[in-house]
Amino acid sequence: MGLKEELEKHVSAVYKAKWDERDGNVVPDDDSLTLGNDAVKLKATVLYADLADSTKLVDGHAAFFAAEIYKTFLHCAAKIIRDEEGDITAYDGDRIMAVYIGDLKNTRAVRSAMKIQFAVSNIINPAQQGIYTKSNFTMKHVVGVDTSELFVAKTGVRGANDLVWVGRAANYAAKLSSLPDSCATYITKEVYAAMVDDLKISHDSRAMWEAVRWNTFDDRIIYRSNWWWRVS
Amino acid sequence: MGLADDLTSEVKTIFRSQWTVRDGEVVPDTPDIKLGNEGVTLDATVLYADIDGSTSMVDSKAAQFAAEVYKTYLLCAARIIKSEGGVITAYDGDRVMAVFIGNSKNTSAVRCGLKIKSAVLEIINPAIKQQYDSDFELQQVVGVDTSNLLVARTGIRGSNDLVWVGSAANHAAKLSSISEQPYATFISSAVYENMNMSVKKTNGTDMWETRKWRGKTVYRSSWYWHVPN
Repeated sequence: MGLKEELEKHVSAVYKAKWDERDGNVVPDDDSLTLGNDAVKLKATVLYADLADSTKLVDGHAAFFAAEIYKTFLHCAAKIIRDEEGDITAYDGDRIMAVYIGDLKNTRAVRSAMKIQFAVSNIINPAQQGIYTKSNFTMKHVVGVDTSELFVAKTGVRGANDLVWVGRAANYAAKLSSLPDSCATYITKEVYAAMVDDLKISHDSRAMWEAVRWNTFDDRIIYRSNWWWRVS
Repeated sequence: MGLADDLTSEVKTIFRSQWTVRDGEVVPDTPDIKLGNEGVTLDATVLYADIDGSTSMVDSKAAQFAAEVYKTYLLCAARIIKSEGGVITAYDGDRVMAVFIGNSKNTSAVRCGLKIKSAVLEIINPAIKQQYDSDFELQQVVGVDTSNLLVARTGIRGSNDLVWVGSAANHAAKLSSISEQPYATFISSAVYENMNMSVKKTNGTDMWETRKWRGKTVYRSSWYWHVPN
């Protein structure tokens, strides 16, 4: 059987098969789904953390330096996400995707974003500039967070980590994480409304978030912030 | 030790450690590289294949339908990449990253891009039409660039935990987000210059046109290459 015929068979089987769906209460991994049209539905909050200006970083610096920047960013983001009980569901070069479910999912995701901002500003940049004393590089990053129902299925592309996450939150969080790095965190109105007040107002009663229009998309209201949450 | 101390110590170790770098002869997999600052360098061509318009698809179609579109696209892209000798190195939601090495890496990666376009036009979209009698047509973009890459472990998870550092990885990803249908394959000038005539012209007709992109010349094509029967 030639490649074309094989692809035609696979493709038509996917469109013809009925879906077998169930509600999930844990973030699925690829062992919990079968190939074929098997899916889990979840109410979830998605976080994307993206290193800003990575093209400039790679074009303007030695590869080993750029690799250290990637590694320190991904390392801190991953540890913080796990500490807030998020699941890292995809990882692709310079960005990381995480899913939060259950109680306080929006609060935990936004607090993760604010802790990543803390780590970049107070841990990674000082360490980098302390060791590379002639460096004029400052790491910047953007985190996007949205919440929605997600429909999770297996793609069959490769053995591990081959789930596809279908739902608004996956797309919007990724898009928010590519907004300008003048702000470190962008979240949707639904996430803002659901998160606890501690994350909205600082100890000295200042609003930590600014409502703006998402003018590169559909002008809906989103919230942005440069505030951090201390990692202890 | 609290999380802050833990992060500080790991970050300092990464910035302080000397690198051990070797030349790679195959596309490395996670177990091939040690944690710590070990790196493998490769002359490689990177391909990103990305669905164009996935947000509007997810916003306007049932999740089941969108999932089927993702699945069929990713499946065809992955099979075609493998058939051209590429290695899938990352997979994130709606896009796939693949690495090609060796003498014909640019020709193979570009032919792969043209074949993915053919799979969409001749296999996926007809199947959607047949099953749903829908006017929905999947659109996608492939970006290809070539450079030296430094491959290292990030240490964030057990498998698939490599980071690919080099302009080809960044530029291929960025090229695959250009939305200018029906142009579905965007390649750097370095790729164009190094690829075989068979993927430049068909019966004397040039399949590519130049376009300025971020101050550079890149090439785009709306042609496709039949997936072999």
